[in-house]
Amino acid sequence: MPITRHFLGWDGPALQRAGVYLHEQLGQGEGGWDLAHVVAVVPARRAGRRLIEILVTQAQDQGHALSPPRVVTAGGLPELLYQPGKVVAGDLDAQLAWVAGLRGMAAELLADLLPHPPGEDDLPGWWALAKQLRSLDDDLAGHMMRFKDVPGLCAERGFDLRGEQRWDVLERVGEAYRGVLALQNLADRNSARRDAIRQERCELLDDDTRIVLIATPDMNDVVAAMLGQVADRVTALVMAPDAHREGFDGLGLLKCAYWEDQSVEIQPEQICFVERVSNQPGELLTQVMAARDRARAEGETLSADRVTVGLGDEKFAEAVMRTLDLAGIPSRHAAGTSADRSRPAVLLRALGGFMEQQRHDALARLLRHADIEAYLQSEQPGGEDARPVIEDWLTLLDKYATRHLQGKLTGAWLGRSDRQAKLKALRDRVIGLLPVPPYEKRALPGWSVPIAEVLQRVYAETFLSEHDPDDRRLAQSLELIAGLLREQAELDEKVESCPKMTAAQAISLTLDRLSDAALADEGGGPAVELLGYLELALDDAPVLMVTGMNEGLIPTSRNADAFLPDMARSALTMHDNAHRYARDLMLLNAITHSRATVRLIAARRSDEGDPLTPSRLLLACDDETLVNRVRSFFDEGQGDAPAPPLPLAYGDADRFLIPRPVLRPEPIKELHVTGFRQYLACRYRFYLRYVLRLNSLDDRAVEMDPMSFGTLAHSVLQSFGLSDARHEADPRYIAEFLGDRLNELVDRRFGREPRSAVRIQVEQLRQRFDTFALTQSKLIEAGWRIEHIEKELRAEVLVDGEPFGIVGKIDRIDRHDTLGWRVYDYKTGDTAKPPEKTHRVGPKDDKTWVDLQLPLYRDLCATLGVVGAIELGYLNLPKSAEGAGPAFAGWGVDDLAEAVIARDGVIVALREQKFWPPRDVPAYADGLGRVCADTVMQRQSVIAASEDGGALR
Amino acid sequence: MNLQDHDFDQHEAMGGGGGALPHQTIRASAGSGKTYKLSTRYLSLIRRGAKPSEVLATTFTRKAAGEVLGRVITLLAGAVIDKDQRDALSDSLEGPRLSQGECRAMLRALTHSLHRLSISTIDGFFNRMAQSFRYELDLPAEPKLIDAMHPVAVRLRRDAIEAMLGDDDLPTLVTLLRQLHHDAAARSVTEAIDSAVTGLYEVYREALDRGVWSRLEPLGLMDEDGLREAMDALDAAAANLPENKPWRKAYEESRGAAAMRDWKRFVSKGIPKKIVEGGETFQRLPITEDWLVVFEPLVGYAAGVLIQRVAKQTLATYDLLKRFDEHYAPLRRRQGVLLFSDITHKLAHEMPKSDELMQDVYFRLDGQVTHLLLDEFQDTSLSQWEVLRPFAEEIAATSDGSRSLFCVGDTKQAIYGWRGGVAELFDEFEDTLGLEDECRLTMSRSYRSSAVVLEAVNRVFIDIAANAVLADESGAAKRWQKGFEAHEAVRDLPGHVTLETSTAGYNPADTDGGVDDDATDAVSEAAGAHEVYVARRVKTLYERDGGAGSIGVLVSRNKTASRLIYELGKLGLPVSGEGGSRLADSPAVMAVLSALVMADHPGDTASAFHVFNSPLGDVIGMTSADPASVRRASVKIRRSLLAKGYAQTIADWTRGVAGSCDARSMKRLTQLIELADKSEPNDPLRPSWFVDLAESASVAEPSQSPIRVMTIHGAKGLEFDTVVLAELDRKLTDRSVMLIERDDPTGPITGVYRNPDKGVRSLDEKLERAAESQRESRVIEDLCSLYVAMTRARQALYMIITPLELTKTGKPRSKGLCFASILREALCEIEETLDGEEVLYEFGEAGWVCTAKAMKTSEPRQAPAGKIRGRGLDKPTDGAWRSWPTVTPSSQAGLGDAVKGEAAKRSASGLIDLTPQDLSAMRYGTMIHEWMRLVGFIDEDEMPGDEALQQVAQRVMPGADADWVTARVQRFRETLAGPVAQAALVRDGANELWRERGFAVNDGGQLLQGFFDRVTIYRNDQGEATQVRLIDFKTDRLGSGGERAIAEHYRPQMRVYQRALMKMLGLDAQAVTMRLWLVGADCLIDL
Ligand code: SF4
Repeated sequence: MPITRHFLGWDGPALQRAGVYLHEQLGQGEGGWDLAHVVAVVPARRAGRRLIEILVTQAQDQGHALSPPRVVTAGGLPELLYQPGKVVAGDLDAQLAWVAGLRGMAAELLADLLPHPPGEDDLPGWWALAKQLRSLDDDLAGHMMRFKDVPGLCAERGFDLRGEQRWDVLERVGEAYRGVLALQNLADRNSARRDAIRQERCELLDDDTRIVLIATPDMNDVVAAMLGQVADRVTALVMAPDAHREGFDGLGLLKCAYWEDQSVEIQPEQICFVERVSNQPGELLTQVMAARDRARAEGETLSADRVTVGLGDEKFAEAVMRTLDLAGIPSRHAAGTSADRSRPAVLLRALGGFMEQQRHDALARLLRHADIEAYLQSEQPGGEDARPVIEDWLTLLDKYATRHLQGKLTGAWLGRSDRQAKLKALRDRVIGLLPVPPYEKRALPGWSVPIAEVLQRVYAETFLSEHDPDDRRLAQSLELIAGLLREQAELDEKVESCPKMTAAQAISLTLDRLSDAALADEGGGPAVELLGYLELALDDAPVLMVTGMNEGLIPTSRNADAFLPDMARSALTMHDNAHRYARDLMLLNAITHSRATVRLIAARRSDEGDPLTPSRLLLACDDETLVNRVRSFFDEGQGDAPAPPLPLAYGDADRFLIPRPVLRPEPIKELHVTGFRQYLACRYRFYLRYVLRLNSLDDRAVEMDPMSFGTLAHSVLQSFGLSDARHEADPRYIAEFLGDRLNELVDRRFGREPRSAVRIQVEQLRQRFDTFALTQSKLIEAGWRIEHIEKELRAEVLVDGEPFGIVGKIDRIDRHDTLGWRVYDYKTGDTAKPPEKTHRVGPKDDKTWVDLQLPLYRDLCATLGVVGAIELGYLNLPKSAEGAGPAFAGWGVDDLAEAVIARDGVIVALREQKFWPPRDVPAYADGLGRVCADTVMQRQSVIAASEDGGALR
Repeated sequence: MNLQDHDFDQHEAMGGGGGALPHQTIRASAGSGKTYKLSTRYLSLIRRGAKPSEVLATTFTRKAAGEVLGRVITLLAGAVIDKDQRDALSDSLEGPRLSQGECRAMLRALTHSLHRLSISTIDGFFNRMAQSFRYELDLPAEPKLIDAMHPVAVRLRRDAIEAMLGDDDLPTLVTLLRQLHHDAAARSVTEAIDSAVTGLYEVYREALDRGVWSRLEPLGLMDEDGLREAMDALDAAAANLPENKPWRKAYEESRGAAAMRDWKRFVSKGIPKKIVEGGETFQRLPITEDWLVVFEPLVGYAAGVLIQRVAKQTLATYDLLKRFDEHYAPLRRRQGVLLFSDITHKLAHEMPKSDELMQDVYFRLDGQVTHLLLDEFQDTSLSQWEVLRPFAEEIAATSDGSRSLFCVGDTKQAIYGWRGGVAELFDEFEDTLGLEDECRLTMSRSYRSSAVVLEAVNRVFIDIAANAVLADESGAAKRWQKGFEAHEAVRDLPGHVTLETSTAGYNPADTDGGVDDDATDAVSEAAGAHEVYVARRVKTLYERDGGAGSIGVLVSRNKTASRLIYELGKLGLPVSGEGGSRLADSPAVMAVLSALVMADHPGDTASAFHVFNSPLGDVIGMTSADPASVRRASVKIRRSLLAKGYAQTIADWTRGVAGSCDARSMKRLTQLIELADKSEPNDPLRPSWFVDLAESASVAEPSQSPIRVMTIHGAKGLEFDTVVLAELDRKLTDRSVMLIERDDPTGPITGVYRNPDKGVRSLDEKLERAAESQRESRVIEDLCSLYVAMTRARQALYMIITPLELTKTGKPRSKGLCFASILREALCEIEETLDGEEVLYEFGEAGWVCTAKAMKTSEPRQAPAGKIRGRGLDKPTDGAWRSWPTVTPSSQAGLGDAVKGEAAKRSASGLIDLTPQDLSAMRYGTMIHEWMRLVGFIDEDEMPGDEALQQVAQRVMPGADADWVTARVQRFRETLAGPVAQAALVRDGANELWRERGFAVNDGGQLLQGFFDRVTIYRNDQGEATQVRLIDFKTDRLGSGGERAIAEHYRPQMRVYQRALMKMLGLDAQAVTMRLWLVGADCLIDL
């Protein structure tokens, strides 16, 4: 008996009609609607859920008790239709068998296929490769083929299949894979299905079972063949009117040739072209609101559950949901979010990274996981409570990283012992989290329990509520992970396909498997549903917005492929571009006919600027419409239309301003010499840095920054200046002395194994010291001697009769019996610059002081009794010998008098607390750029607006 | 039959087809309508029956690809509906007049093949090709494509550098770095290496062979004895010195230098210098044979030492690059990251070698390429050509006219040499194809620029070889001029051109201010007088026509661009940069970024202060800026990033601060969210990476600012009503670190050398030759730059240069080789005063009328602010919405066990309990249920026989031990005979019995779904249910908690059954009684 076909029409919701069909034709029984004997086959999971809802509603409306049908997707159907001879390998078994099959082949055998096989230890590489070949195998199997059939079939059909050797290799890999399974007495799923079909073993277990195909126009050959063997038990409900009977075969599968030439009727207002891909959510929202307004105008309402959004590109879901959310509209993505972005997955990944690398940055990453943080803050069972110790661990670690620049975590802790203790305690707790034993190699099953235990430790104190969506997601992801781990645990350790690996590798494989799973968001209040295109036809919301109506997305097409390009697929009568086009066209007809409001949204360009084209489905129309449509897409696409803003009411004026300084009760009475330069450069930044003492902090340095490079150099030079070596004239002696001191300091600060870049910097500093040694020796020989070194000094100057303190540390003061004093500042900048250049800028006859360091040293010197002939200058230690040595300012009395005026100007301004407005932007990053709105084009107007509105909290 | 064939048959039947098209190259001057030409060529091919899938048209930019695609389709669409347009198209396509039907058929053909159109960027095409060879090329399946400046690439390079440094012994590295830095010890090691490797990486990849880097052969080196001998000879020669003071002095100096072994000084002065230069006299005295004998060995030795040094540096550079690559490549691979250049590189160098390669390529690309259209051909790099060449050669080899090549470009606009573009390919292409002259077209009529602008262009370039400033570069200038034809204006546009000087005087911006000693050194990036003048000038131009036209301000360096943008912004002008504006150009965005920094680094007090004092502080819930509060906020943010990702977190904040934003901030925040969207999924644990990304991101402005500042490179392909050239005084010198030599401009690299200074170069022929040819290319490219810059103008062109200054002797100082000098020489006809702000050349009308329509402003299209009408949608009227959460009885099991006093919550760690499930116990449970299903009313119905029970057992537990099963069957019989069964399974007046019956009901918006084990129903006379009894079978054992514990454990589950039954049968709770039957323990528990 042939399959029964029934045409549902497409002028209304198909699932509702399917529901009616089911209970009317198959469900009438004693005591309610009993559909337990029905297997309802739907194209996707969501349609199945909805079918049950519809049946329940229909039953409850009519007062019947419902015994629901069993709902499966087409992909899940085959296993109901045959009994395998052997146990069929599960997903994990099969995956591992593919990996084993691949790895077991000699490289030269693989070479035709894989000239660059993954390395012996590159388990993830093999894993990924196995996945790819597996999906190719599945693809072929769906069309009743094996690798080995491909060349023959192509030849038969006169198609030139290039690279037949590759198919040989593929077949051999497939053989190897099945061989691995056979050793475990397992069957390959595809083979089991194929055998069942070939041996005509397909059957239904219960005599009264009926299979009802609900709008499944697109099943593969395997399913079709199996259904053919139980045809008398199958009914196909087709979502099309009788008039299109020709377009479907006996199973209700679409006939390509018929649909290729059909058109779709679309009204102009149903099409919306937007400029860029990311403009689509805004357009969609506009359209939803318009639909709502139309409904209201007719005295009706539009609730969220009556709206569905179709996604040409599933990646787009989040942006759509966010936009709707901002407009106060709840939404739900049927496909859910990828489980490998869940909290425990991120945690495992960070943990794996930490174990693999044992580096500071891996630790820093792990410690930023909120769940780890919560764990660290929880009480430790027994032992001393480590909580207060590690409260500010991130800052502590950041500072440690910046100061000690450690790469590996394996060295000794450096720096102050109290901090060392804290850091050690912190690390020990993290180590305590690791799977036990952390670093040995085991077969995959051996890692399940240790990994699970890590999660149990972390989440020991976490309790989840059914009603909190975050908790629900966490619960779901933990269950998923547990499921995977359990499955892995149940593998037989002894079989060959189970390679040995590190815990980190086991974690990464588990995460890879997790990435195929999604955290579904299933129900809970009315919401806009987001569905993939293929699910739209069966959706029964009256309002539908389809995004991504662009060619390549709807329909998808495959235009280049490593194995089966489209022409090859056509030759092998596999689903090809033409098939997808026909299917999507049929579906679009069903979609547009079956509901009140449809909007089809397409973008003209990708966000990166690549030109896009409209879906060909939009162009399946008469000639005149075609011309109009392409013109409206391409013609109007040349201008740059503005992006719709977020659907939020915003204000009239921007209140993101630069915080105005708050006056202190007491003005500053004392200032460090470098503060003068800061103040002259920008008084506002001075305020932030010197009054509020704000700092930036991160942990990314891999080598000394100029500041620490300078500090290290200063420390060495200081200890030189304080030692007797300062009297030495032998450059070799000086250089050696400096070198030794350098070694000591580096050892203390950077440990035994400084980072590579630091080691090089140290060597470079040593070279600078070598040059300095020559300079120093010449100075000694010329009769100069070091009198003071690194002197912290404080001087008071009277301005307007009031004293003001100037503090500073002078690097070095030399004395000569006849020539007087020389006051030096060591400079370790890359290029040597004379003081004049750094202290004053401007045209020759109109210079301004931008730095007062050296002139202020005169004030400080006076407190030491250093008076009289004083030369002010730099002692340069630049990167090349050029410019090394002393460089003097050579200011005359007038110049210095000007400097005093500049100095007093600063002091007066400080007393008046003038910290506003910010001045020009400095040429380097100082960590204050964001506060000071440095990169804002209209910075001046922000400053002006901040004048009144920017008061500090 | 597939679609395109189908359409084509139709199309040919209508008289399409026609003769073949010859190969063609077009040298199209700026603005001459290249895009139109390319588009009509495409259409000609289609008209002649080419399949769209077999015509490959590549461009360099996405914008150009979009233009060609749009043009192709709209030309046809226009031709369908409009006769004039059809006729115009007919003219361009040649052949018989186009009919409407033909146009329609062509349009149909194209639109039916939209999925197969190959009009794309060259990168896009390469990408497609590479993916289809990914196993051969060892590419990741879903590569993340990035450019070298992407934060991920930067990070990977840093990692590679660190790994590389870790590898090596210190002395080698230090030496190497010294050599890289011309013998200096710079502070930032990583940066130094990074800039070296970034700059040279592509050269390295093109010249992998170490031999290419070791071509220098130091000659003249001697052993120590030989050297001593030569020095002795020099000493001895003192006796023969001529009576000439300079001679003697020079001799002494040479001797001193030789003694110090300062060979560089030795050869760069005095007599040795003369000898190197090939001079025959020194100080007018002949350098006699005797002296030559004395000096030559030492000169040779000196040259040897110096060249050897260069050779070593070169090899050191190679070694560094090699080692770097050895770390960098695997890192990229492991991360699944590809540089754009990787794809081209791999396609060019790593495709499998095979005679039938092209057949494989066509197979995998799913079609042949029968027609090739290449845009901007002058910018094609050798690697790109390497990939394209086989396509071109195949096409060229077929002479039956079924295939064709088409190349369009302009060697005068070849400004991408630094990126690998090789303009000479153009010539080579024409020659190797042996193109007839009629296939080589030149287009020099401009549809873009006004006659005034073109006049200036012509004046500068028509005889550029004669420009005195280029006297030393005449080779380059001549080569450039060769391709130049006087430009002619097609349109009659008013316009204005000037060459003018800016304000004279102090120009601090010229000195490269940088970070000095410590990071706190304040060197303000103040703009100089020149920039200020330019900004003011742009302001006048902008205000002149009320912002009607577009103004492009073109400079040569990014740094200058930002400075000018800043200055223009200060004047309150609407200005944006290349590729739009910076995303961080908004205080609101910066507050968001500060919040992210704070999340990553709670110790960053500057960021915390910033957030706290912005409207965001409240939204995040910061109560103060003290460390504890910051820490709390930081954790909270990281928690949110982890749960929701960056985009949603920022969107949540945006919602909170919306009232404190204006339209502009709102727009920027929207763009920030979009950026977050696109860069996800990414590291949720370290927000700093996202801050980096956002800070460096620029966003395309939805509508462009009327004033745009950009580099000349960035302006390629663009045009403006007014162009202001603002940075013309930079010296045109070649500062490249390396010299690259090719025997043939389109051939492989044959030599790579460190670029030493001029003195050293002159010691070696190879170096000199390489430097010479590099310099020539460089000058040509500079001239191209100037040409591109000037030809961006539609109507007006303002070229602003700095005034001349006086030398000490009171003469104007020459500016040397720079654009300003070239322009002065070509255009200026007056005696220039040195006061500045002077017009040196002027042509056209200062009061020209801008023909552009007023530009759209960037007002958002949608109702802003309060105008968003009634947020959200309506409440569902009937309360029954779609998508009900499902509750299954089994999901409720165990929820009754008290969890730490919180009955409604379950333990997270409990969810990860891996205690293995007892599979056989589960199957046994199933078997019992199946058996029970066979049992009707025990007092009425026949009980199942052993055979039936055995059958069930076989199905549920295949392979189970037969004895075991027999024993179970026996047990089951005993159970049925026992008192519990006798009590529980009787009819007892019931009307109906459900066994293993599935149910699904809607209970207050929840879907209750599952199976009842056994239900007996009592109905009244009307058939309404009045009472139901439910029994649930369990195989649990009775534990220490006794019946009570079991009852509590299953109570939530049983409650689901109860609710379902109530709902299905319209009963209240009392009417539903429930019992658990522990089958193993044979015990019945009432609930
Ligand atoms: S500037 Fe570029 S796009 Fe415009 S016509 Fe010339 S080549 Fe074509």
